[in-house]
Amino acid sequence: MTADIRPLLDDCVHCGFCLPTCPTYRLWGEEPDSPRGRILLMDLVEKGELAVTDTVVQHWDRCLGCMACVTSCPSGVRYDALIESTRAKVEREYRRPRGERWRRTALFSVLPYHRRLRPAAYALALRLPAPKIAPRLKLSAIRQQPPARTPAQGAPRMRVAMLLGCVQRAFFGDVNAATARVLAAYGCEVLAPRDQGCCGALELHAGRAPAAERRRTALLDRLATLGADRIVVNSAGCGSALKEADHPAAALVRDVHEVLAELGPPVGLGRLDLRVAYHDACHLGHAQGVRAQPRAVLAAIPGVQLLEVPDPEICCGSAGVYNLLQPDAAADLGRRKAAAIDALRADVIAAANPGCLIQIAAYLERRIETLHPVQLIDRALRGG
Amino acid sequence: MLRPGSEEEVSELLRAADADGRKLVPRGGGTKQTWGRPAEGEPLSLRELDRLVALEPGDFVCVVQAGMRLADLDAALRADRGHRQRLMLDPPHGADATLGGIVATNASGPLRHRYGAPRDLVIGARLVLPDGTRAKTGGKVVKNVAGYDLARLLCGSLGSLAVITELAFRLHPVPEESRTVLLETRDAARAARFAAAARGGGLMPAVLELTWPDGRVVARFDSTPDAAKEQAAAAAAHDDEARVLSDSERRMLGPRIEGRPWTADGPVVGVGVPLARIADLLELAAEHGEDLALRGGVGVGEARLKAEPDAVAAFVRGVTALGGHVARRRVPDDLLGDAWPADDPVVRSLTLAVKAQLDPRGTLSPGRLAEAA
Amino acid sequence: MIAELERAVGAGNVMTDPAQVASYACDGLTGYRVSPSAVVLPATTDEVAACVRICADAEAPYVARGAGTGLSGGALPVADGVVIGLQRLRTILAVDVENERVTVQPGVTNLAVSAAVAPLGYYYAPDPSSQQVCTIGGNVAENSGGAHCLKYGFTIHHVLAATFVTADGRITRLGHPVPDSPGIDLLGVVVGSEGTLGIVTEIVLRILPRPEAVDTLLAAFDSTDAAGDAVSRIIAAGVVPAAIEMMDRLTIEAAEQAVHAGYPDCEAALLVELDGPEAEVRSLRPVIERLCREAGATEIRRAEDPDQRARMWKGRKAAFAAMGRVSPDYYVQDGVIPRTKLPEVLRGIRELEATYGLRVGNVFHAGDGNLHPLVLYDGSEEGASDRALEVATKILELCVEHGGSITGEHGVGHDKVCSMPKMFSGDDLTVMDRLRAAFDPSGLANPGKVLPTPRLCGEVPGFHRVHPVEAAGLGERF
Repeated sequence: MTADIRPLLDDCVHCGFCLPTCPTYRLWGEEPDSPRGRILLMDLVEKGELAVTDTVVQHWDRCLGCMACVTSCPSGVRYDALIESTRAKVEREYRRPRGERWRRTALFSVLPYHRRLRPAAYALALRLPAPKIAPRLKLSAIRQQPPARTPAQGAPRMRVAMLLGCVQRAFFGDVNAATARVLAAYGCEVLAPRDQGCCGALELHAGRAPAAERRRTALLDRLATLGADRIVVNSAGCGSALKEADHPAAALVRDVHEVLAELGPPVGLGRLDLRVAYHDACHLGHAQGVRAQPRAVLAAIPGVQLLEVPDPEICCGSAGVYNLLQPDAAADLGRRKAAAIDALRADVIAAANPGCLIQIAAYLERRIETLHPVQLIDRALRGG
Repeated sequence: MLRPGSEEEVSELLRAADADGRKLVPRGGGTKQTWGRPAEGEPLSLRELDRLVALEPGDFVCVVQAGMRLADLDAALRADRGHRQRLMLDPPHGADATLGGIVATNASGPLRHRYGAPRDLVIGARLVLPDGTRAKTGGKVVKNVAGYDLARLLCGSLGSLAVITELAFRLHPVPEESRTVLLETRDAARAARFAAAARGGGLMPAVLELTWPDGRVVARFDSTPDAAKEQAAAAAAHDDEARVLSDSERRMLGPRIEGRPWTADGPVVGVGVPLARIADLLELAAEHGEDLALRGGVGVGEARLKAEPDAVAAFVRGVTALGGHVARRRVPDDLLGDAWPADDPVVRSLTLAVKAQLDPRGTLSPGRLAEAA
Repeated sequence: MIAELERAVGAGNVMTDPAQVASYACDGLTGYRVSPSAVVLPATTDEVAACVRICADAEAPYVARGAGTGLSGGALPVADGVVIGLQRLRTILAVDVENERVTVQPGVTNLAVSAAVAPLGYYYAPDPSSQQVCTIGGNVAENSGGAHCLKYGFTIHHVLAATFVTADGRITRLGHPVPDSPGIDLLGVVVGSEGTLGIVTEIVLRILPRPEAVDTLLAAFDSTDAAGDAVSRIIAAGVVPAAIEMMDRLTIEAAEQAVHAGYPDCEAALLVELDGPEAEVRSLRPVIERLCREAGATEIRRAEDPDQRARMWKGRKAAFAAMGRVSPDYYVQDGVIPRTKLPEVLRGIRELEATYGLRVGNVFHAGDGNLHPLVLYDGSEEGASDRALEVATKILELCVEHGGSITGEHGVGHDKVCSMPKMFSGDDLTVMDRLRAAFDPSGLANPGKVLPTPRLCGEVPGFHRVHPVEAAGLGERF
């Protein structure tokens, strides 16, 4: 994490190219809720001309951390580093109102612990009353998990360590199971040890830096002992957090699509006649720059017609825990994204992040399948 | 008639008249004195200011005094054989009209289709206010947003705000080759369709002129030799009876189209309609008019109407109902009628406020802006 | 007044918090910052008119603002004044392809207009480099151009009519959806008036059919003189390309770092675009190539497909913002010279570089002589920003000396107010001032912009502003 943000702040020339790609600016058209405006607030605070007031924090909190602005900035401003550093500063120096503090504490005492999420998973699978944002889960799905070791199919080309995650592990065990199968089919020996913890991404993106750093380091330490060629992640937010870590193992981290694209599709990929809308998760597209690989991997499935979602660079509103902390803004963005997707008349929506899938599913008019791309590949491998 | 020989003299004359309460009406070639509402006052001729002040062929700019006739500027430009450039204006009465008058009336002809009206070709001007103030606006470069665009304000102001003494224009290269396509038809819908086709599908005519009710659509393509020929052929293909004219046919066509619709007596109005309503305008012209000359790709032109107040009123009402506009260009009071749409009150108050700032004593062309109303 | 504004637009749409108003303290010109006392965000024409009336009654100066990307400080707030932000008016109201026009609200971005009509085979021609973020309202205020204005003209050539809120809060329509309507061309004066005469709240724009063919080429030269010579030859040959852009080594390097467009390694590059009927583009392309070679082009590349074309343009359009990568600070200027004077003026700029020890990158709309010198400096160095300002001002003086203009498209705004007397005499400015007074007698609409005032610039000889008190006969000047 950057201690001295002054040089980063000076990179901004106030050109405004970030404005049209910022979801909150698209929603409200207000300068302080744009990257340029937020940077200006950081600038004035850093110079000591402005105090960290409720208003200032509110504008920073409303930032989704989607990093669309990083992609669009011609000056190369590292807004991601700036907002991360700023959020950590806020957590250190600003005293949130009590209700908010409790809410955050409650969230972060559950989300990073897959075991604590389990009861919620069952509650949702059993269709107990839940807020609109809550996903519909299947008992069969949440009970699945990959084995600790899956041997490669055919000659092993790579050994990979697989991240199981927290929300993914508790709610979408089927995604994890499919990931291991697919990687194995593509020639990987897949190691998915049970004793791994949280990567700290949600806390990192919320400014709770010390906890986040501890978790991230512990996880990378654990996965580094496996002698793997790659550490494979199937959740965009987690992948981006791990890649940015100041840790030797960080260089081994890859999103699952990067590995699959690198290895190339195996023989025996069955046909799936489906119209698939692919949604770019912000932490995969903007943060990691991984856009071509998931598309390539999906397009390689015979019969798949890949559809582009209009305004792909605009966040769906999930943004980590944003949809829990800023529900109104998240709802507006979720509705927009869902409407754009509804218009495509797709059969399936594929996104590489559990948060996105939950958010989009909550706002779709038509009930269509929301899947991780590896689940489609898995289906194709199992006969189509 | 007052005939100042220099801008300084113009300034002195105006200042004196302004102080004395005398009214003056600026005049160039006298070809468009009937445009707009009648103005009362002593004529002030600008014909002595008739020099070509500067010609910068490398920059495609010329500067002329306001009293210079367009025909004389054309001749001067043609005489410069090293550079083939032209001021792309072909308003009615071009032989006698002065550039100051053309700008003050914003008058244009068939070339307006590609090159725009005078206000799109003026890049700077010098003017004199009734209190004698001599000022300039714009400059000698096409791209210029310094200050307010007073030159634009003067275009179409019919001599009511200031006396124009000098103008800077942007010039255009004379194209290499020209090919003309003609369709003769009395079917309004067919004519409108052909006009639309002649500028669709990537075709870019320089001129797209309709005359009615005698029923002609003329599309001229100016470009490189290949492109002119190909486009003309492509345009002609849109209608079985459309044909590409030979050079001699083109030469014969010219006089039949030039100067329309001023070539006979009768009330003349400027007219403009949305592109999709051109066929409707043709019908209106056939019913109430004698002659219409229309830029078919812009929807603007001029019409000579039947010399009956009912015809004039019906035409005005009809064009307004189509979402267009009509302007008085040569309509005597007894044919005016009452169908003319009223000015928006806020626009009127802004117009009068501008007038009050530039000509507080109402020395120039009183009556033009209906100040008394 | 704040309470009234809140009643007019809703309390959530009025900002007075110091942090919030500080974010509106400047536009794309960051050297000057003034926090307004309030920022109000109306959502309809009626609300805009109400805000203007409230400001007029309270005698509070106001500044209209679009996306705040202007480069002359046109949206710089007035101290103790109000900023009227038009961002919430961002709907495309009507698309009328049959009649080749589109009606939009002022907050719609320039690119969004083209995007809306692209599926129908049309586009909106004026294309400033900031088009993905700049708004039509701002374009109208500045009479914005863009690379393609060489062939297609500026905003004024593409605005047919506008709903206009006057400086005293009345609503009217200027212009007419059909061109060449009779009457005084008030719309023609409002376009380019930089928000000093009133506020447009709805605009009817002209759209054009997409040209049949487009051809883009990038030519490399050993010097800016050679590139300038190529431009002169092209123009002299009677060809009117859709755009001719020039960049020098410094700007090419910065743009490459930002967008990796693959520009050649050279002293100067020309980006020439032809468009029009296919046959015409086909015949003219070899002409352009020949003329470039005759002028000494060392390399000529043609865009083979839309992606390559887009990349070539991306390099050019990102040039300004990309300068942030090669210098901590920069100051972009906007001057016009007759095309024929390009080599002399470039020489003059190089001399200034040597004298002041500052680098100047150059990006030009070479076809119409519109220069954008980018004066690079390091703000943390003592006196560097003042020296940069001096260099920029001297460049403008060079432009005027050679018969050009102090601004081709960025506007006068705040930045060049005090340079106006270099181009216009006291009498010229007096006439402009009177025009302004006709629209805004109280002087509350974006005061301090476009025309010099004694407070900002000192007295301009012969430039006499009639104070409303004088005009009312209530006071005398002595």
